[in-house]
Amino acid sequence: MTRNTYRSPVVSVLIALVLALPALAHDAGMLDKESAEKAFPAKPPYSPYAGRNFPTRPFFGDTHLHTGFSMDAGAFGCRLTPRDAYVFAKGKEIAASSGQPVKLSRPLDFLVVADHSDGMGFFPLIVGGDPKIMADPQGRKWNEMIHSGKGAEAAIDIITNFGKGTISKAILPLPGTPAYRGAWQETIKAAEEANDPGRFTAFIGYEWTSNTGGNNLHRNVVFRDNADKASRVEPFTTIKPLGSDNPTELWKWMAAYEEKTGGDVLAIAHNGNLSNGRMFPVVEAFGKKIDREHAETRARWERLYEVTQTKGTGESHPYLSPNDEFANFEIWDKGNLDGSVAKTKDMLEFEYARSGLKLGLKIEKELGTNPYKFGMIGSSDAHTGLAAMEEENFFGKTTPQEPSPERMTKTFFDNPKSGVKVMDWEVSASGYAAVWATENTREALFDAMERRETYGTTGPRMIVRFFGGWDFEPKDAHNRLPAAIGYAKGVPMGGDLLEAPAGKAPTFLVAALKDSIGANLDRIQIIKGWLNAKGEVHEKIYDVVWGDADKRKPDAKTGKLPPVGSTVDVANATWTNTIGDPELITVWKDPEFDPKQRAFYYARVLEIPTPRWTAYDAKRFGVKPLPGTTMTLQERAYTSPIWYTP
Amino acid sequence: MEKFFREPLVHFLLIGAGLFLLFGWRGGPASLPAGQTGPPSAKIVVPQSDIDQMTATFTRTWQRPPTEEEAKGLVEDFVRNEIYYREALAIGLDRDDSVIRRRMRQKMEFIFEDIAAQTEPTDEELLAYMKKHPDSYLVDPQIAFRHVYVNAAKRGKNAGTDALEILAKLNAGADPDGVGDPLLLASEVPLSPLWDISKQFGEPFSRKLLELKPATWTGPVQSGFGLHLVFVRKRVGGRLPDLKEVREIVKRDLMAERQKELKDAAYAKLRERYVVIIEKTKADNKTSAATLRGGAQP
Repeated sequence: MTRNTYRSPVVSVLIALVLALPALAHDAGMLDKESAEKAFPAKPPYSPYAGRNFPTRPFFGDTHLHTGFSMDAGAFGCRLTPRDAYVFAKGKEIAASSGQPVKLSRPLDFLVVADHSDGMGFFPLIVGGDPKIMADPQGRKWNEMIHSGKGAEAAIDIITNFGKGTISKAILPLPGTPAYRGAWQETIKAAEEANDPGRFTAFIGYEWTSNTGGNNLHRNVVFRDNADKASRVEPFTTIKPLGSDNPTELWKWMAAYEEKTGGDVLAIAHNGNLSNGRMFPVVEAFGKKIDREHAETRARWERLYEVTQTKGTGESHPYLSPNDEFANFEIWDKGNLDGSVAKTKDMLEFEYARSGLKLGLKIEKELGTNPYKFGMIGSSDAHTGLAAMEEENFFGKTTPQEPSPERMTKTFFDNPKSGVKVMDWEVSASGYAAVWATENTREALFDAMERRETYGTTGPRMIVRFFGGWDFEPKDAHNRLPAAIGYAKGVPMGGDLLEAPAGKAPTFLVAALKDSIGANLDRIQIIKGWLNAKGEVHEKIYDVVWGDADKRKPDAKTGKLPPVGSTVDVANATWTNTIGDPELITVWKDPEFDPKQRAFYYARVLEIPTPRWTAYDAKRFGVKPLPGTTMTLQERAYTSPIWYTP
Repeated sequence: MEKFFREPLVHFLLIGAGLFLLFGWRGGPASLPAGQTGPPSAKIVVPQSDIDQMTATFTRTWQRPPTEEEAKGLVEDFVRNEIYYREALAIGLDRDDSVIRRRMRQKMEFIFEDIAAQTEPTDEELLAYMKKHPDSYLVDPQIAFRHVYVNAAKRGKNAGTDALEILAKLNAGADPDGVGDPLLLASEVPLSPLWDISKQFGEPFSRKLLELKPATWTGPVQSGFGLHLVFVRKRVGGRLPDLKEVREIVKRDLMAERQKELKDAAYAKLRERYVVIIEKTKADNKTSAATLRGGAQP
């Protein structure tokens, strides 16, 4: 009777009832011009929908959700299991760890439960009083603290000891121990049980949490495979000698997994904004020079980057992009993850996505490979088991931040030594990943992630199309099937433009449709980054299409588009869709193209201003916000770039 | 209460009752008045099966069998454990230990869970369960439709009258591709379940589709994007699926329910055997909520 039965008393029965749902093997492969043309032969069939093999809709999900199986989540009071997390993501109402009923406005299409691999399942063991834990003085101490109302103290003590690597080896579940294996098997089983090909995809995954010195180099590892393969390994950890905090060792683990099982995995880095300048290194990493092999390996395993989440948005920073009036959005720039070291401006260049894309061009010129050729997604990083990232239905980053009158005014963390202090109100209700897949299965979604046909949103489910090619014309924006034109004449987001035809500049077909229950759109921008002949990187932002275009024109002198305005009533937390447009579409041609310069282009879609979660909280709880609290925001989406390489 | 005692549950309870008889016969705390415990027996038998198990555990841990000395040590440790265990029980050291209490309760619950997991539900039982919870298994209605979008943001005040004009044209046989405004969503939606249409067009719109007259142009119907004129091509009603389509899911749900029922019923049965006196003090009223939530705040 030493089973690890955690909160959900049915787990043991379910173990006996695992459903091995066979997922349809499907390899969408790369969509290049040639195959797209095959799909649209010279004489099209009568039905315009016959023969379509491209993705017709994006699927929305979260690639980064923690449950009580994560040590820190458990310590902070999360009692939901991976199984609960999937049930919630599928749209069912459940009780949050704080006891409050919670439900999504509509189901998500997919979810990756990504619990920390270090100490996975540790907290349930402590709470449950596992005999091995109770035999150890440290384990027993924590168990007793938790059961005598000192859970908070225990939590902090556990996390501090974990950070310092001083948790007793006898109790920390390491790969190879039955406790660890049990937690991993339960994670896998929860995903297998929830996976419902065609309707909901439950990925198997985990987070590898490299955090040396408090600098965030975390990666989420996602499996394309089912339990049969994923069960043959246990997650890679950061604790030596079994694990390592060096990403190159994670990549080796990934390669070994694929070698051993014939499976397929990918890794998604996140929160460069809390890495203190280490997410996108240029010269060296972990004492080793960045060489061609390093660049190639990173590019192979890390095809996506998580650009927005609860701990801030990391697209760009006002310091890096002084001309970008929308760069100052949900920024967390006070220090690293544990707040032990304050941020300095010189770090920023190496931790924001746009800058990373630019550095990638630089490295590519030198080494022949671009290590930072990543697509974009958003995800939650919630530690509540709840992927609830809607502003008016935000269940926080951690369990103590589930809705309560206190979260408007409480401190999230405060390190007096470094001066780094973050308030609960600074936590973002963000984000989700959108994936253009041919169907909702592990295989199809995974393949779309690998070809970077993805975009990140800060929460809303707007539809965004972005195609690049040499021959898009303005009339293509009026076609009733823009996607058919897009795939036929160009490449989708995440793709490449090669060999510029003489005298031609890249053209882009870009379109966005508002969330069916969300706010109208303000504008679509295309952001270009490039490397000039002197080896310097630059960026420029173009407003390419906007709402209320009949009344709103760019300023004749500055060329700047006036703001869309605001209908937000902060006191009542309401807004109206009387400004902006439900849909925007256009064709844009780069007016400053130089065929000798490598470049990338991505689209940013802005919604009209709406109330931030803090406005809903102020209204619903009748709490006065602290001075300086952000109460409105312009939600947005970031597409994966399209690269031009001479 | 009657419904708890369907046949399998009665079995479980009998087994449960048997366990309690067993505890009682062995002189455990369950059969003794509070505060009193039985005398520890003075005889300790170490069966060969336990020795074999200790040896096996040692071998697994150290990757070799124990030496003679070590084997002796294992047995001695076993005896020491047993003596301390009995003496500790005899002087009641288990009684006010919250960890032991929690563990004991957990073990009891495990027993009930295991009992509940023993019996396979029959098809009849599964079918009955499914019919009792039709909403959980209902297959959504399916709808195939064609629609023409009218962009209200672009057309402003005229959107409504424009929509009616377009409707008239469509009913007069106009090509739907030639009227209305473009939209990023598919204009021809093949037979799709309601949940899927809701995801793309929003729930109010998809619900409305269930009411529209099929095989004719109707509308306008409002969505989050604007107005739509709709031609419902085909509609298939929602239905309760055949058991074979959802057997595993129903089984999972039924087993989960049985476990819970069994645990509750078994506990209720045990609870009946006790007289519980709650001595309320003034401070008792509102403390517990605060203590329970205290664990969460960093």
